[in-house]
Amino acid sequence: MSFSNPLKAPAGARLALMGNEAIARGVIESGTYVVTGYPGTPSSEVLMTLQEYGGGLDLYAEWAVNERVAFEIALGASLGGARSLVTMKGPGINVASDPILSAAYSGVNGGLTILVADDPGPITTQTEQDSRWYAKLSKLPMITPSSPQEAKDFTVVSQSFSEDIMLPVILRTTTRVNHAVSEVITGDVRSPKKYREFRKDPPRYVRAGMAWNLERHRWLNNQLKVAEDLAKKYGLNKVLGEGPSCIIVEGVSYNYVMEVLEKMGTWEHKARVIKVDMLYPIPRNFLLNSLSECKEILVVEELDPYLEESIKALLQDQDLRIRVYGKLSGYLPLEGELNTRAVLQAISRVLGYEITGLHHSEVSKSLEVPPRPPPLCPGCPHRNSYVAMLLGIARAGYKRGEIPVFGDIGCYALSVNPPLNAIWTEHSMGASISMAMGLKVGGFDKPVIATIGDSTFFHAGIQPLIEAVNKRVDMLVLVLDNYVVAMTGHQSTPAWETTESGRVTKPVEIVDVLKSIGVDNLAVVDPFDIDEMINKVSEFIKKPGVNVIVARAPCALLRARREGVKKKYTVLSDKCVSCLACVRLTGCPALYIGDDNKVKISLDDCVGCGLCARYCPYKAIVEVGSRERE
Amino acid sequence: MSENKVINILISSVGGQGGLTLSRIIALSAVISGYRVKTGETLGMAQRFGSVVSYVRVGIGKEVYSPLFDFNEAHYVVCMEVLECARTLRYLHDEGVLILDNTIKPPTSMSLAGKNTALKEQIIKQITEVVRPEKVVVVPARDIASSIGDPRGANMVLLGVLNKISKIFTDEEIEEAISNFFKGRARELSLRAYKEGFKYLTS
Repeated sequence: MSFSNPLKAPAGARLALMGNEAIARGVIESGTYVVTGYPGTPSSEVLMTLQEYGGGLDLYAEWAVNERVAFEIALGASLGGARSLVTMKGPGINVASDPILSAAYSGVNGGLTILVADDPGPITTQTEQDSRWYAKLSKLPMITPSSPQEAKDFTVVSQSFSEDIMLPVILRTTTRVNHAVSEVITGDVRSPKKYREFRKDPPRYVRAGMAWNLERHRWLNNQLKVAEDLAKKYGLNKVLGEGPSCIIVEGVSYNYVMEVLEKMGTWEHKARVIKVDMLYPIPRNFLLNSLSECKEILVVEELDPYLEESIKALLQDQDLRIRVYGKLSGYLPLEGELNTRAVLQAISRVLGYEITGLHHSEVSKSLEVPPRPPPLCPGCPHRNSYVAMLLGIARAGYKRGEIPVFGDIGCYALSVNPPLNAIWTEHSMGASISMAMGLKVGGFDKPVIATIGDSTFFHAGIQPLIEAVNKRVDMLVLVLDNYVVAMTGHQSTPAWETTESGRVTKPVEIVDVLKSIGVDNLAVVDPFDIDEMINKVSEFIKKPGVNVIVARAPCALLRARREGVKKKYTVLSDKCVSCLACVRLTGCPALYIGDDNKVKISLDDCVGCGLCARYCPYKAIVEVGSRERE
Repeated sequence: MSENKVINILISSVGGQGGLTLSRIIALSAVISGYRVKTGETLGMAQRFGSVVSYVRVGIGKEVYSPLFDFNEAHYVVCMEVLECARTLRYLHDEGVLILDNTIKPPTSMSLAGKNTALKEQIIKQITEVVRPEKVVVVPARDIASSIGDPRGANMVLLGVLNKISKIFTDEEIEEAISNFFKGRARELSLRAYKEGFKYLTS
């Protein structure tokens, strides 16, 4: 028997769940009442699952404007006794780190779990940040699951652990757990823990008193002393096998190690797997008990040698002379994600013999084919905006290569690829405007352009714009408003009238925000009215002041889903001279060159934006009905 | 299936084609069948049109640990697109079976380089030169799906072919998984597409 709603399935059901769906189930099983976050791969599906399947459940599950706001909402809920959980990708915890560090001093009342999803690989993230260091930095307990089942179970554990120790607990995951689908057996659900009381207690909650802060620091260090007992109480950390060669694992690396050991057949007398589920504080007693009889130790972990360094310090502290191998000895790589092959090689080296059973990779069956970097979708309004920007720069009399274009985080960063080759930088949320300002104040004397999406503007673009307006720095800002957080799977922004869960909002208009900041010139354009947008770019780029163009049109995928596709375009082969102007201007993935060397349009993919037709010098691209198929 | 083993299936596709849905339906079928399962995926940043690779591992009487497997370890490689197939061919085990939808979705880089779709037949030919011909099954999955109403059913046509060859699941298990996952018209189309795929090799 299988159930299609992971949140409402009864206890004991065996479901096929993605790690993030399992965490969402864990939210319900743990009686968590407030869930917030900011979208970021690979963390987004936790809140999306709660919103999609949580209808009728007593739950607050809403996106927040950024990660620090999300965390502070979760903290406030927790201080009143409600159980709360906040979700973010690795770089999100950088944004939330300020309040997180202070929260370690105030502590919590209701359980508070911070889900941070790292991305070894990296598969979709700007850096291979190892967020385990945040546990050490903030002195907050951190636990990590190795599978979707543990992702659910540890979410439930985390909330009780948090209440027992009175601290937020960081649940740290990686893509291969968040996005893995596996069987998950559900547990009992409990009714949500909501507001109980909030007692005034300045020494605890006010960080303005230095004597109080010193005292709370002492309190924090003292709280951490019970962490290992709590880990034991909740069944965290375990040892498999009893061999003399010890392998320390955490999170997803457990799977690669077990995969290799199973290839050895009976391994239990040769190796010992020490699975560390609590990453901070390091479970000293557990480790010392398991390590004292080890002949040698291999640490298998992704990203930084976090455990490896801790283990070495622990052994030194105890005068134990056991060799520790891992990343620092060059047995495992410092970059990229792990896999069974890399782990097999490391284990073979430690054991001193070749483990067989893995098919060695003769990469003979490899064929060279054209690359497929992710493009902007057909009909994407950002494509029109960047084409208009580039043509506007030219109309204003500048060369394309002399006007720096600062990009920001979102789908529109894909404009870096050919043929647009538009943005020069893409750094961190909101950085486009402040970095453009920096170049100017540093002495650059030509115009600069910053391009930023609507959700990124709400997240971290408002303060940079205040700075630029206040300091009188000339720049053109394009706010690419597609009405949605597109790249991470279409989440709501503060401009929505109703959120995914049905909560009625007061929409915050970007134009109102821009006006109140006092930008010098402001225009709202439809990027599909490309001539108007070209005019505005060439006009605004030469005017002094902070000039903002809001290019407003919904995400093409969202529009197609809501309104359907009303028309499409096709190429008249007798008129097409294969000049490829359409391809070179738009880079639209619906365009391709057929066997006859004429351009074709994939009718599966065309959504009828008409940009290619607008720029076909031979008028060879014409409108057809939406029901046409190849 | 009684033998204790882990079956590795690699699915390669272009974002938007339904490769992730195919992986999910196999995972769901595995859970319905009482097997163990783990999937992993590697995809580009965009929602659509990037390369997508899904690893599906079905454990029959055996625990599945790693969500990934290595080159040369796939018992089945299921390709929804020819170029992506060429990219992922190295995952196929020497005794493995390659199931290929003879569809090409030319990436922008190809159009910008002036290359036309004649590349498709050239690549299919190259594939059949590096993989033993009896191990390659070329299926017009997209065309079959279009003929029953929606090209998006190509993934379920390929599932039909995969299950016909691999016999991992019973029809009932797959049909339950499809019925669980899809609603309304998509459910009917997907069930039909699966059956058409299953029939394809005998017809």
